[in-house]
Amino acid sequence: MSFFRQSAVALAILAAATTDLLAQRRITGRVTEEGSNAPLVAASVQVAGTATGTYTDNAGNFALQVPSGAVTLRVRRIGYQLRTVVVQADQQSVNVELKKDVLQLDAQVVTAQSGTIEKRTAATTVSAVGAEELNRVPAMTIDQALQGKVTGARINMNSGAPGGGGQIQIRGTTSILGNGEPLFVIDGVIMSNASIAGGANTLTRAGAAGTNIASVQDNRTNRLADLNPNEIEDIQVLKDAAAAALYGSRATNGVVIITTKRGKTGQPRWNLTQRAGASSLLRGLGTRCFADSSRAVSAAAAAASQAIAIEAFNAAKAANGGNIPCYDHVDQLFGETPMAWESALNVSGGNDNTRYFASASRKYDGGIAVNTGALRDNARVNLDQNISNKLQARIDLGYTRSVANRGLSNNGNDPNTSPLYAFGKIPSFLDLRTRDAAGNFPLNRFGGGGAATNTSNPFQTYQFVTNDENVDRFVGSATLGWQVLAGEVNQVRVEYQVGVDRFTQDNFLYSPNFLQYEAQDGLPGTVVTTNALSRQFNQVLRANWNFTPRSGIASFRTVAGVTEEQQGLNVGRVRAQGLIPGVTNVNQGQQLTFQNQELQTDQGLFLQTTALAFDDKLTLGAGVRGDRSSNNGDREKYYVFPSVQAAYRFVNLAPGIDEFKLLSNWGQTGNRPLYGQRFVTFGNTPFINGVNGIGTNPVLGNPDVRPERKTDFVMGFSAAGAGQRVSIDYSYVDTRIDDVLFNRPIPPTAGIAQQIFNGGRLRNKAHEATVTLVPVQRQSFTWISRTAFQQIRNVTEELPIPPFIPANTGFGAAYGRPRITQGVSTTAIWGNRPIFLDDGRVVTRDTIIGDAVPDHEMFFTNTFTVGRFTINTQVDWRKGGDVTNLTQNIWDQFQRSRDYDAPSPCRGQTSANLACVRNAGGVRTMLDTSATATQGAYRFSRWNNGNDARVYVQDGSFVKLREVSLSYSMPQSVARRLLGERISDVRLNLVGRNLAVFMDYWGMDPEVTNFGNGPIRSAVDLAPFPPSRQFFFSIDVGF
Amino acid sequence: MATINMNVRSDRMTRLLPSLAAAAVLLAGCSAERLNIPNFNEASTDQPVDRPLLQNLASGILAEQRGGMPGLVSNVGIFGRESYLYTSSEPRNTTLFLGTFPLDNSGFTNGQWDPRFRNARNAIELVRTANAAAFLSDGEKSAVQGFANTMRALDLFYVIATRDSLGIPTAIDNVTNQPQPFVSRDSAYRFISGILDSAATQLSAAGSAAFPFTLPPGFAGFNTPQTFRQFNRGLAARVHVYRGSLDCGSACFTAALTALGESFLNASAGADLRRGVYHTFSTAAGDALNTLSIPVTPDQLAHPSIRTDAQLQANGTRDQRFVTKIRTIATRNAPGGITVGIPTDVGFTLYSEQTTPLPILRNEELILLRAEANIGLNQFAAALQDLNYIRTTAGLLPPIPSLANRDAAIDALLYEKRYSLLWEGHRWFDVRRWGRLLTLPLDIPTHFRARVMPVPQAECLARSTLATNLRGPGCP
Repeated sequence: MSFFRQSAVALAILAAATTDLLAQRRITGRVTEEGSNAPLVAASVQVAGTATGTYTDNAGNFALQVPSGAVTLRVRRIGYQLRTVVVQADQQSVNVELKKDVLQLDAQVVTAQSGTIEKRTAATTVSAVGAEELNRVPAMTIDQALQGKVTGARINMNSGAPGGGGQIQIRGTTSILGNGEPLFVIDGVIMSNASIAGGANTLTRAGAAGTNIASVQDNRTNRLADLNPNEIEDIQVLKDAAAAALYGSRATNGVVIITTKRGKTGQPRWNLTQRAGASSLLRGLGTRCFADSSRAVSAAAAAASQAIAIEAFNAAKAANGGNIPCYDHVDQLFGETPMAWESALNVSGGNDNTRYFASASRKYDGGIAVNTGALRDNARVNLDQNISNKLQARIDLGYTRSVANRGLSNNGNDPNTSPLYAFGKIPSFLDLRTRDAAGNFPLNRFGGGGAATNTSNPFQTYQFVTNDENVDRFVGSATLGWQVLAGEVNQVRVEYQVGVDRFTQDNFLYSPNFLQYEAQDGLPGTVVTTNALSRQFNQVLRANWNFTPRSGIASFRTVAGVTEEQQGLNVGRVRAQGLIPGVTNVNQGQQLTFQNQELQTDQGLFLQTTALAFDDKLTLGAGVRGDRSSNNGDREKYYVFPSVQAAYRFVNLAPGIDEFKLLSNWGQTGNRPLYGQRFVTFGNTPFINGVNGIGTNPVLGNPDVRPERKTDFVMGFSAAGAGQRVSIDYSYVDTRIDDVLFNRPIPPTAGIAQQIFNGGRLRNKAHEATVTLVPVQRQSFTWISRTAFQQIRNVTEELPIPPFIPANTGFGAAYGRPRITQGVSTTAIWGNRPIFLDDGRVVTRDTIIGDAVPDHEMFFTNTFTVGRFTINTQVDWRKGGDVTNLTQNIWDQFQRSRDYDAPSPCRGQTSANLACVRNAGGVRTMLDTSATATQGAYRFSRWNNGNDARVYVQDGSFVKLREVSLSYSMPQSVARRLLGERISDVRLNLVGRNLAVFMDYWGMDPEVTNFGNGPIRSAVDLAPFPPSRQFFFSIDVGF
Repeated sequence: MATINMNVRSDRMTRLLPSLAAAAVLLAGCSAERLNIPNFNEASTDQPVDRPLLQNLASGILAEQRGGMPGLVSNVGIFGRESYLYTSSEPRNTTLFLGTFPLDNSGFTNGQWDPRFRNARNAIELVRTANAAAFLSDGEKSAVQGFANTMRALDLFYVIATRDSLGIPTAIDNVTNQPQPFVSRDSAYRFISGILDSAATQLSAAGSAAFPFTLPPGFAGFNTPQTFRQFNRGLAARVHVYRGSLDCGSACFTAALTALGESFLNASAGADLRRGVYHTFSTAAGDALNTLSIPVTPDQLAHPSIRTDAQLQANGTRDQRFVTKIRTIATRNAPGGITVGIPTDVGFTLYSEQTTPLPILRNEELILLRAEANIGLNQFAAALQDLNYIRTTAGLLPPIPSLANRDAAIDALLYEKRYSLLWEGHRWFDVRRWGRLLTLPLDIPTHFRARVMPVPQAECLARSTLATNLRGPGCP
């Protein structure tokens, strides 16, 4: 008998009770803002203790059928404090005034699987980001929009390329070999955040040069990029294990709950948003201009040969009237200021039985380099239908088409097709951009050791290479809800939801035959097609039981349920080289094909109870989830994840302290093994003579793998006071992860190098604090200031195997990379540095030289409202967090860095200054201390071929002006005169993103990483796509 | 203190609770059929043995061995001052091989290790699988054993040849994966020689049976157990000669001559010096290309001393082997940054196409091995005959009138081996075996001549907690 047929039987058994219809009456009312008396649109009005409710219309009016007798109405709207009013049995109408909730004390926070509770009473810490915050300043993707808005999360963009590509990590490193990304749930549907490589390393030659289907240096896009912020009502991040525990063995990295907008009863309400703006390069790298010919030639010769350098230099100088020209190639290639625009239209409305929300939007972000850009189309319909007063159905359908033209970037090798990688080697006197009369780009002979086919002209490459990513995605769900009981004491609701998330991603990479580098391998012309199909399916059956005894001392909320989730991903790639000119069909070239297929199923059972007692002052909760997975060694076994939580609220504790809440919780979650880790298989070798070979697998699977287990202990408090002018939230989190998945090293002479197993322990500690202040609150002027602080420390507490270098995190001891070692930070950067011994000798050691995790991060948000104008700013400050700056290493090596000619700090120094001494074969050797020593030569020679990696492991502290917005809300009378009587509100906005960055860091952006999404966050700056800043003017019209 | 009155459940609720409990019990017992998901990407080790599986295993051994060869030739070529790898974006392909002492044991100069031992294990697994296959005749089983043991010996040979005095572990415990002790150089060569000999016996025992799998085209002429045995004997001769020049002496040289007699050596007039066993490549999907070839890796360049040291033919042109194997190119410098690198203006023509085969063992080497064995036995006249045969036919050089003494004979031999087997993975081993490492030229004074490739860091670390006798030699 199948899983869900049994569930259906269970549902039938549940059909035990019915309630009588009570006599009804109709009441009407109006909801306004306290003080201004402005009508509040779409405020929720609900009869307490029932599922009966409605929303206010454009004029703030509502009408509602309620039971006879006195009823209590709960009136709320996002951004306002909850208000409870009693409507007497003989009262027909009621007016309700709502107070602004600037401290968000009355906000609702979601709980895993069981709806929402008030933030005021919550015993777990949840970060919430509302629609307003999310959409204030448009971002390329949701990840980018969330930067600096989620306390406890570190959000990085992999590069500045259009189309996105980022990573979200919550409270530090939780895994080494497993999954490191949070679980994303949109309206109950678990959605894929896969990042699938497009095969760009076929051209960049990073890593295994296009032979690895999971190439991690391809500047991949994670598929969170498909979400449209306009459709989202709010995003909440369940961070504590106790909060996320009901997602069981997929919840270790936190759960991001995304809720889309839903229809509200009343006349159709339309919202139109039109944005138009532009992007430009935020920060380039600058360049070194050559003051004299000898330096120009010697720099150029390093990337080719003396003869080529002299010839090219003389030609460039002659063409420039005898002066040495200077081109900033990065500014030139990434110097476009393309249009960006967005059109979004949505409508919501309905009656008591049917409610709908529909939206359609199109957004285009032009890239700052030629032939790059990202286009996203979204459409969504969310339907709520009452079938009877007991049965409700919900159907949500979302569609996305994402098209991104991403150019090439990140790490490379010969033939230097990644632009910043190549520009570091090309002398600044060379004009690469000006095409000759026939339209041909100049040939670049620098970077390939003198052979032109070994290098590229990035201007030509960007002009002619296609690197497109096309995604078609459908996310949909159907939910059937059955209100079994709706009494005052007992309310029971049973829900069955089935959700589907399905997308195809097609990457098309084409490099035509005539490009400079294409001749290198003797097979001119390259085309790579990648086709990925992701299928996710989940279903959940759950029952919620709210129990409010008449004594009123306590109320209980219980949820129990069963889930099944299935995820499949099938990626295929064909690479063809040696094409007939102009042909892009893979059949026409020498082919290589790859495929990878994964499928996994998880089944879970959960139960949780929360009790609220003593006027909602005490919150107590306990829950448990049992999970089994096709990825575990023992597939039949349920792994159990318990949680408990408690909070107590003191009301009016002391003068000026209105609310004071202490909270604490303890919980466990899991991180199940990845697909494939449990299998003992043969390894594959290449084909030989038409036969595929198999042999010993270098990594032995383990039929006993089990989920990693995270245990969180959280303590915190919240306080609000001074007449709703101050609130403080603080939490301390102690996390341990046991049964960590590791590769046990086996001496390779056994013929096997590693075996996967569970063991060891990681330990993370985090402090998170948020302070909200309302320094000024007057009718004409308010100022709301929010400051968030976070600090994360992660340590490898127990390592059952010798120290090791995790895969895909760096480039060896010469440059610095993580090295998992017992007792030290998991994200510590290890690298070579000279150790000066007392006896005068010097040795080079691979030791800790930095840490990728910042000392702390702070986010400052300030909102000023002056009359009808609102100004909002978001500033992020990061202190510390080291970056491996390989971009500078290349630019120094080939003497291209902008500050190359600056004075060396070693000028006039003696051997007493150890920063000017290096290790030359065990002997202390002075660097150049002469009066002409330069900064660039100093850095590169101190680095000393990797003997001192500290030079390029650099502090990534920054202050970023992330968002600025200025908006003007037009008086309704003016708007109606201009645009017609139906208009309810019009807002004009002028916004900017990434407007400025203040830092000592040499590169463009310390928040980039060459290796996309992995469990260990390493910050490797290696020829990324440069970051851009964006400006928009937008108009929002509601009617 | 207030008492909470829990006695408030309605009748309806008391009816519901058992129903919910019943539902939970039912769901907990739900079937797990959808949790049984196979591996779609790799073959399970737990599957029935049939002929196709044997073919896959044999192909795996051949492909793995082929995969290691370009790296061997390239590394040994750089150490032996035959070649450079001037990848402009990776200067470490030069600096770490020629200028950084001690050699890097963690990334660049630690090759010829994991895949070789893995392949030795593959050979053991192939024999175990074939022995358990009821559908194979005894002859076929012997053939499989002979094939597997020959391939295993060859893999281990490359490991000891690169590690030399460090020694290597030769045994593999494929059941418990326990680390095996390192054994001395001579023990390793003796072990290899031993399995080559048992392989020869097994190939003989196969009689007229055929291999139960197809060998690639590079084994044409050596793809039956009896012809494959000639290849086996050639390899045995090479191992004997190596041992002879190191720790064993004349007994091994004598054994080498015996083995050569059973090999495919042919020094008759007009014999094909290129006849032998090769790794073959293909552009077919999933197959591999020769990464030494000019189109695949244009940064593989030749050492200028090859031109300087080439002897002249009677007509004044250089050694014919130089003429056919070396080309002149536009000068390339070693990538290196601040110092302008070492220039070279010569490249190879040896592997001109993506799929040019790579020799494993060929007639030209066998003739030179015979010369070498004879020199080892001080039989200079016999040696001279073979040396001159190669000199005159391959190099078109005038014959050497005589070999004055052992030293002169070795010098003459090393010259012929250098040009006859240029960039086929021999030179560094040959000069080291005969104590002539110092004859290798240094491009700049800070360079050094590597003696052995280090034991990889991963091996060292994995053994770092073991008893002293199981730790890796030379591990830091």
